[in-house]
Amino acid sequence: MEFNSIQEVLDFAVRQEQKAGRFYGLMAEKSTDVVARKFFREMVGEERKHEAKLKAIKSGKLSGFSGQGTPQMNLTEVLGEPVFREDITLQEGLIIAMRAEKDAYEMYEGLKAFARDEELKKILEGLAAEELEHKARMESIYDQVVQREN
Amino acid sequence: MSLKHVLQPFNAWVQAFSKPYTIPMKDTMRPGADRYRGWHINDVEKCVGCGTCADICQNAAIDMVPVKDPVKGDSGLRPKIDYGRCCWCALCVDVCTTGSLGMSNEYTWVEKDPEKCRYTPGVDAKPWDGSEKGWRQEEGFSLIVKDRVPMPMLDPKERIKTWAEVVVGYSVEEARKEAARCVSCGLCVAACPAHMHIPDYIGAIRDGDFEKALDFIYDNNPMPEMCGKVCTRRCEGVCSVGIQGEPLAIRWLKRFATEQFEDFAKVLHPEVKRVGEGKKVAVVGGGPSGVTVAYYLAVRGFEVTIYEALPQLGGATFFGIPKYRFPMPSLEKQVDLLKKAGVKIVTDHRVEKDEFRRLLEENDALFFGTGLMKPYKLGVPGEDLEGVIYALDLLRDHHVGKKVEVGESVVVVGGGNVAIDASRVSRRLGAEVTIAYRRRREDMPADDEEIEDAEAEGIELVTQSIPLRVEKLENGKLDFIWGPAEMVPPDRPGGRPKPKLIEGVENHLQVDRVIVAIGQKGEFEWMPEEVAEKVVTSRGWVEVDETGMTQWPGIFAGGDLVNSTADAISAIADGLKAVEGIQQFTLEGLSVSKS
Amino acid sequence: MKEILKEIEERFGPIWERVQRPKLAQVGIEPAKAVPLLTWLKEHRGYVTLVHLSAVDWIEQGEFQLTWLLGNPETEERLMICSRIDRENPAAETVSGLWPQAVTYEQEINEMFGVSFPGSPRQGVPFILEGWKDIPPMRRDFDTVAFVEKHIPGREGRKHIDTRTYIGEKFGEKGYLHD
Ligand SMILES: Cc1cc2nc3c(=O)[nH]c(=O)nc-3n(C[C@H](O)[C@H](O)[C@H](O)COP(=O)(O)OP(=O)(O)OC[C@H]3O[C@@H](n4cnc5c(N)ncnc54)[C@H](O)[C@@H]3O)c2cc1C
Ligand code: SF4
Ligand code: SF4
Repeated sequence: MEFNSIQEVLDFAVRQEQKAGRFYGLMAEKSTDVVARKFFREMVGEERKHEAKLKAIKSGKLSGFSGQGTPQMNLTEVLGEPVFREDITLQEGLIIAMRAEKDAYEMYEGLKAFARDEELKKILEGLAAEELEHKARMESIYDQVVQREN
Repeated sequence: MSLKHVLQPFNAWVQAFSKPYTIPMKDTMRPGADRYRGWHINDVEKCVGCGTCADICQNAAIDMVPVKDPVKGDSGLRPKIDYGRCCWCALCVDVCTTGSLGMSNEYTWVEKDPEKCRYTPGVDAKPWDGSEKGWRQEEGFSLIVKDRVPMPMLDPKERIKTWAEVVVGYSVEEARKEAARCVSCGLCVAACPAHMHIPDYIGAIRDGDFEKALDFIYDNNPMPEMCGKVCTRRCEGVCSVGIQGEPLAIRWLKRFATEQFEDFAKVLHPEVKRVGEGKKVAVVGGGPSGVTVAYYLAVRGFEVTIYEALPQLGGATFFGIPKYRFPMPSLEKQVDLLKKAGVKIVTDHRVEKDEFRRLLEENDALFFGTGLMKPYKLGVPGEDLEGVIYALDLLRDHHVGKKVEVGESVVVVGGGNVAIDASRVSRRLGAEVTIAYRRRREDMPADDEEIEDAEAEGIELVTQSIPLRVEKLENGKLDFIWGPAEMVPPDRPGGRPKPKLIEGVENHLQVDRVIVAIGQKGEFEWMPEEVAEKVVTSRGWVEVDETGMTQWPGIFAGGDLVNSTADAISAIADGLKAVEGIQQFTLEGLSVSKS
Repeated sequence: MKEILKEIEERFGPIWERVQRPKLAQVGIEPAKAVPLLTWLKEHRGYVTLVHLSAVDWIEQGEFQLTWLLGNPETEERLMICSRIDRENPAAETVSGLWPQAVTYEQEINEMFGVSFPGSPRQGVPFILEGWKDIPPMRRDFDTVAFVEKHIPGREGRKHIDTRTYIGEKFGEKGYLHD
């Protein structure tokens, strides 16, 4: 893959978010567990927010990414790899979301190697950091909801 | 009028030119002695506004005045002293629960306006603020009794051989002696989720009037013998006596009062208007929140039926909490009162979707407090292997009388009450027990004393350990593999610090069972979809308004499903809220949120 | 101090004792033997100084405790001789014959606690309280706060908030068994 401009990178990122949104939407439709269903719906909204943020950057309304620096717990690395089933639970849904954010992060990290210039590299770095932040946030929710007594 | 009087002003003038009889102040000014009792000072950050200083002052020189908003652990009041009355006896300093109040060694102050000689030390700035000298509480001397009357307990070596209650309970003398330590400040009342009348029942115990104590206790807690044995006692955490000494044994005193009576119905005589006559309320789930709703509505004349899936009411306090902490006769006594109050109890009866819909139609209001009945899974590879079990299942099976086995050695994963209980039950079933917890000991949600009791029973604690996976070994045992964690700061103020795996290290523990107790969740399969869709959140909790009502008018909820603290007394507090909400909704046809 | 305590025990019969510091000991003795003991200590054992005489109201036990603090200037040792008397019609023997300054102490205790020392010269004469009509003010059943509220005006506009009640109000404490 090759990017020629920042606009191209951002367009790609927007498509990624849209894809993720559709993925969560599909899971929300199919889930029988009310909590999982609501969680996936919430994630659809989250992805929309990300998409909007990227578009704002693209149109220059927003100058860049601004991660909060949520500390990493490296939970995703430890937990198993659940797959979607109709009776999927919130716990599994959260792990899937954590993994998705991690994959996205790794993808942007990987793409950095193909960046032609420093500008492009910086924007890919920003995208990677953003995904890492999302991953940490998911881990934090997992920690608060699932592991209340651990 | 005599000549002398006429000449007086003139005499005074004459005196002005002669050497004065009085000694100029500056020549005689000498500092007060090091321990002089001069003007008061107060470290207002340390002071909690307990008002004990004002209570002891024999000159009624102290007023407690508001200087900031009250919060848990601080009334926001501070002592203001009227120096027209103070005799500088220092009783207030000697009795101060926090040691914040002192006296500087400054003793001179000339002021034309007497009103100024009434100030709030530490709040109204004075030149002697921060003075090192003057009167302070003496080391080792206190008007407050700092040591708690120790609670007799069974010996750890003996108790792991039985299911007998570990805590023996206070005698009358011990209880009255412990109760006499209370300063009646009431800070505890703020911290108790149900705002129980703590200083009042402690006072009644001190005076030997146990019936009165029970009356205060039952006034807003229908399971006080349970709370007297297992409560998380947030009250004790803010006890002003506990700041320099040991907090009052509030939980044990409540326990003592309830243990004085075999039949609560003979002692309690509710005097409330039976406003609910003719109104019907269904309660789903017989845990503490459901019991609270049922009891207080029943004494108000409501026709209440409570449905419980298990053979006994009590919820997690029946099927979860072990009998060596909360024995069956204690529970039965409390349930008995419920029956006598006229509550219809239907046990061994799980409400399902259709019945719920019917109940909704047949009743004027419905409350559910169905708790967190399902465990969260470990989430790591190998968790589906035989021998990986859930603490909640183990405890429930054991408590409904099923035979349970845990083998010779177990590891319990988690650090809450559920984990500790599963550990101590496993220990009593004969196993060697290790608890693996992700964070530090001080982060464990379980009660401190419970952790100590577990350790005394020979249970080992491995903290900052993160489960990586479980494997089956050839000898039939399980290999519990974990990695060490370092702690990183929480991502929001007041949050828990987080464990972060230190990669590359693997530790092994060979066990017969891995018992999972990392957290619990609500279960909604029994709930009609249309209701669940409306009331359940994306985190698996249920949201209610300030009257305890869900998004569905007429359906109320409370307990572990709703609150963030997930303990028995919070469930009771939720129940109390719903009692008022339901009363309002059924009698006035409206809820606060709608009006 | 051990020797003197032993000797007192031998001569005056059952006592209770406690060495508080190397040169300070406490001796408890029945009232009838208190003054003979004090006399003996002064005449024969060098405890020539009466440092202090004080009283404590043990209301729960229905007793007053009198404490004579004696000093031996030579050895710099001190002895506290304590004796409990009945709180009903309390009276004790005067030591004003042994130490003239005891008159003042006995006058003060007479006024503050209502303990009388028959034969002591200034009994019943006001010490610092003029025209006192109440029960003696150092008795523990004297309600100091009530007295102060009645006789010593506080500043105007004072307002005390009771912490216990305040917290109940602020945090919404409620009862459900009584209306
Ligand atoms: C092992 C363990 C130890 C604990 N230790 C302590 C402690 O020491 N101190 C403390 O304060 N708290 C402790 N807790 C927590 C405390 O027990 C709970 O916070 C409290 O019981 C919650 O009350 P609740 O009203 O939410 O209902 P729960 O107690 O959760 O009870 C819910 C009830 O609803 C019933 N139910 C569910 N669905 C249905 C249905 N469809 N139809 C009919 N019935 C249904 C269930 O069978 C259950 O009995 C402990 C919990 C556990 C599990
Ligand atoms: S020093 Fe004594 S009189 Fe003065 S405020 Fe304190 S307790 Fe009251
Ligand atoms: S006793 Fe001490 S802590 Fe309590 S209000 Fe007075 S100064 Fe503050």
